[in-house]
Amino acid sequence: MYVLMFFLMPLMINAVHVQTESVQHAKMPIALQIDTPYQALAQALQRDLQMTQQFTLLFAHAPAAASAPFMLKVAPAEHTLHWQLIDQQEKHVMASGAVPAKGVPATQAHRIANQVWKALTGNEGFFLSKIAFCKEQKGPKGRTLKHIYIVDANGAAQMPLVQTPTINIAPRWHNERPLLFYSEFADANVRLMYVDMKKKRHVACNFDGVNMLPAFSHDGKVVFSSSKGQGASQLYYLADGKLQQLTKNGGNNFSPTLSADGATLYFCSDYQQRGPALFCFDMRTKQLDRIPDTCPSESPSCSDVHGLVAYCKRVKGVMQVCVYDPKAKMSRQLTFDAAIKQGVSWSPCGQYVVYSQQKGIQSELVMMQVDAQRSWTLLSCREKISFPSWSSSFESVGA
Amino acid sequence: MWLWQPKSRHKSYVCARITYSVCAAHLLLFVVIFLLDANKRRSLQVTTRTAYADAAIVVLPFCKYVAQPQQAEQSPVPQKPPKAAPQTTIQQTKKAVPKKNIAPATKAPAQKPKQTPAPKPAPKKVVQQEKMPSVVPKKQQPTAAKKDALAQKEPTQNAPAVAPVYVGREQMQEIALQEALVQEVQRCWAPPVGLSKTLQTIVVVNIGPDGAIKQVATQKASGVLAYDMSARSACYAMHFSKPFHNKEITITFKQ
Repeated sequence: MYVLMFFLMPLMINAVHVQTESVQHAKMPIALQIDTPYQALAQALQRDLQMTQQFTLLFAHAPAAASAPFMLKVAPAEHTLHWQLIDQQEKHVMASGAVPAKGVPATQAHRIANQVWKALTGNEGFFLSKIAFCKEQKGPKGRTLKHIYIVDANGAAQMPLVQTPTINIAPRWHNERPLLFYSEFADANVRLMYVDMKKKRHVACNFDGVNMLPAFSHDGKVVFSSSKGQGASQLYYLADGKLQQLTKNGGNNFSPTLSADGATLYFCSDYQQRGPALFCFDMRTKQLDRIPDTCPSESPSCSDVHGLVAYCKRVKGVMQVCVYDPKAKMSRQLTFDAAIKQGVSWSPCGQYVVYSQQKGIQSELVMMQVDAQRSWTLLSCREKISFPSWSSSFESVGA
Repeated sequence: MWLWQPKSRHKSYVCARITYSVCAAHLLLFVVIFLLDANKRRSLQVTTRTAYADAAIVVLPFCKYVAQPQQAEQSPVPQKPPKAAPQTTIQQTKKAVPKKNIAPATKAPAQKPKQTPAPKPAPKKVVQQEKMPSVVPKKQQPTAAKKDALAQKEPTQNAPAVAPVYVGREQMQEIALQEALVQEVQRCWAPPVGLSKTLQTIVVVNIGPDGAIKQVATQKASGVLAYDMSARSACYAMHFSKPFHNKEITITFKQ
C-alpha cells in the first residue's frame, strides 16, 4: 500500500505551476484574407510585415494559413480600408482599425501595416518612413557624381530625389517635416541644401568652406557643422534664429546627432586624437566628454526612442557597426563580418538600424534588427551606396 | 460460549480477528497519511527551473522533503536566471548523485536538516539567487568574512563553485516533472524577435484525462498581442505526458 502510495503521489497533484524563458525566436505566421482586386496592396502589406523579421504573412488559401494564430482580414469600404485581426483558435476579433483608401496601394499597405504592427507589438509603426542615401554614379567625361535617392523602409520604390550634375552627399532628414537636408559641392564651397518631396531644392546654409550634416531635436534645436572658411570644422547651434558656436578647438568637429530631448549632443572629432572619436556634449552644462574606446569612429546616430547611439568603428581594420549605451556607458559591437560599413541610422521605432556596406564590388544597404543582431539586405547594386538616413514616419512622404 | 466450540476453530477465529484488525489499522493509517499528504501537496508549485540550475542535486531517498530556506519560496523568480539547457541540468543531477553523498544520508536521512535548525546565513557568492539548505558539510563552507573577501576579489566571475542542494524524493519528482514541462514549453514556444525583454504572460492550460487540451486561458496578459498569442499557440502545440493528464497547468512565459 505504501509503495503504491509512493507511486501514486505524483498523480494526485492537480495544479502545476511552471515558469520558463524563451530560448528561441521565430516569425509568427499570420493568415491574410483580402479581396482579389487588392493583390498589389496584399503584396505590399506582406512585404512590410515580413520585413520586420517578426511575422510571416500567408495568403488565406495557403495550406499553412489555417494553423496561423491570427488572421488579418482587409475589407474595403467607402473611402476606407477596414482591417481586423482575428484569433483563429477562439474565432474572435482581437484588434481592428481603418485607414483612408487614398494614395497608391503601397501607401495604403504602409498605413495598414503601421496600425497592425502597433496592435501586435505595441510599437509605433515605421512603414511610412523613408530611407535616404547617396549613390555614386558616373557622369559625362568620366566625372564622379553623387545623387541622393530615397527608398521605402521595406526596400521597395527606389527613386532619385536629387540628381544635379555635381556631388551631393550626407543626406539628413528633418525630424518633424518631410524635408531632406544634404550637402552640395558648389563652385566656392560645400553648401547645405534641403529638398522637399516635390524635388524643390533650397539653400539652407551657405557659409564659406564646408557646411553639412545638420541634426534636429524635437524641441526645435538645430546643430550643424561648418568650417566657415577657417580650416577646421566647428559645430554651430541654431535656436530661436540665433547662431551660436558650440565647439572652439583645433580639431574637425562633425557629424552631430542630438538626443530626442535636445539635452545631449554626440559628434565626431579628431581633437587631440589621431583619428575621429565620439564625443558627448551636454547642452545644459556645456560639459564635453570623450567617449572612451571609440577611436576611430564615425557617423553617430542617436535613437529618439531609447537614446542609444549607433556608430561605425574600425575594428581590426574593418569598419563595424557598434551601439553605445549612454546610461550604462558601454559599447556593443553589432557586426563582425569582413564587409566595410559606412554610415548608420536608427529607425523611428528604435528597433532597427540601417547601414551601407561594401562587399567586394557590390554595395549594399543593410537593415539590422538590433536586439537579435539579424541583418538582411534591402538594396544591392554596383554603384557605391553611402550615408543612409532613416526618416520619421511622415504620412506625406509615402503618399 | 467458547467451551463447546472446537479448539482449532477458536484459534482460527482469533487469527482472523487479529489479521482483520491489523489490516483495518493499516488501512486507516494509509487513508490518514494519504489525505494529509494530498491536502498538503495538492498543488505542485514548481517555482523556477533555474532554482537548482547551477547546483548539484543530491537526493535523500528516505526523506520526502528537505526544508528549503524561506527566501527561495518567497522569491521564486531569480533576477536574471541563467539560460541553461534543461538537459544540462539533468546531466548535472545524474552526476551529482554519487554513492558517497547518498550513503551518509541513508543512515540518518531525515535528521540532517533538523540538526541545524538555525542555519547560518549563507554568503551571497555561493547562494546566488536561491539559498542553499544548511545540510552542506561544514568543511565546504568557508567563513562569511572569507567569502565576502572572495566576492570582492572576483565580482564578475560567473561560475563559482555552488554547494549541492539536498532534496527529498518528492522534490526530485517535482524537479523531473518541471524539467519535462519546461523542455516541452521551450520546444514549442518561439516568440517573435524584438519585443520588450520585460514581457511576461501567464497562461492556464486545462488538460483532460486523455491528455487533450480542454482550455487555454490567459490569466495575465503582457499587453503585447503577438507575445500573448505566441504563448497561447505554444500551449496548443504542446504534448503533455501522462503525469500531466487531468491537471491544470499554469505556465509563466517570460521573455
